[in-house]
Amino acid sequence: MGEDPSALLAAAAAGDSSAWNILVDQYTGLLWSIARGYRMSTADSADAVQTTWLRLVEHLDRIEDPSRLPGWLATTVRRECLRLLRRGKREQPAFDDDGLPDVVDDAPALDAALLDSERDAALWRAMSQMPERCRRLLRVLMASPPPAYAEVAAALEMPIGSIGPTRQRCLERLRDIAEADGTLVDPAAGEGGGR
Amino acid sequence: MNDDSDDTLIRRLRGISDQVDPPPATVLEAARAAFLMRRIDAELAELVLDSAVDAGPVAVRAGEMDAVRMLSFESGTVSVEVQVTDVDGARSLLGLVSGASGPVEMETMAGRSFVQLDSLGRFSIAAVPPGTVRLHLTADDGTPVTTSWVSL
Repeated sequence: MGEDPSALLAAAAAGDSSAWNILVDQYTGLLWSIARGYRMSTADSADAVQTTWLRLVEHLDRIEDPSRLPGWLATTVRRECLRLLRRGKREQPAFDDDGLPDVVDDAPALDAALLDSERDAALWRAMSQMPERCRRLLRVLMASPPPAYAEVAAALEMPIGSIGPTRQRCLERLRDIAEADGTLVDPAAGEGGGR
Repeated sequence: MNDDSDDTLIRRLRGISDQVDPPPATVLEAARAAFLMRRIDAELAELVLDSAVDAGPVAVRAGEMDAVRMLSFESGTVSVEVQVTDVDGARSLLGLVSGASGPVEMETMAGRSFVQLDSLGRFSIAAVPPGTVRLHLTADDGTPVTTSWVSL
């Protein structure tokens, strides 16, 4: 899971910028995936991630439990996302059952064209058709480097014990949506699991 | 495609997101640069209230002309209340400060600007572009005070 966040945090608090840079490399992917799971624009996602890092800079000396830094970061970026989403709610009248704007974002469909493999493209398109909670969970699980379940739990504000079962259910749904994707023409992939 | 194990599928999805939706290089650069924004000499005025998250989802009535957001920052000696109004995509700030005097410096990623506090401790800043902002003030006892960063 990379280097120990407590030691890196202590070194950064003492002024070591290389320790800070390791933290950034280790956790920016997680923070980005949390923001993107909310289907926020690139600009808003960048703001949420940047505000999170700035807030950590402010709190370098006062993180109560440094071993839980990744969870602190995940919680902080989730709150920043909520701020940004609610700020923009007047332009986005539709809300889903999370009370959050149901932003229509066709970026996944466009990005999918960049993928060589048709199945990859179908999977990525399927992500945008997933229910809110599944999409957010899977997007966080897709982060690089792979997040620990404790971080995922903090990112989604869900009990750690429910991540495994929810993941299984969401992946099943994702497979179903991808299989039903009309553009998926590879017969081996398309027919094999058609039940 | 059902014969994939879940772990294999997650790895595959990670490969896809690495390819089409990784954190942009600018985001990584800004995150590294954030370390240089550290102010160890200044006291932090923490964001203690933000109506956008603390007042529940229905803070603003539909039909009002502008969305108004209230922010409160507090340090041991200084408090700053800021009312943020959205006017045509830019933000306008109205502030009320207690425990500090002199100029208020607004810092954004783009640079810094100063406004003066009036005799009642009020200030106003117009046309703040969307993005991350913090304020620097001087407490009445001379301590430099910096607010938390907040994205507007």
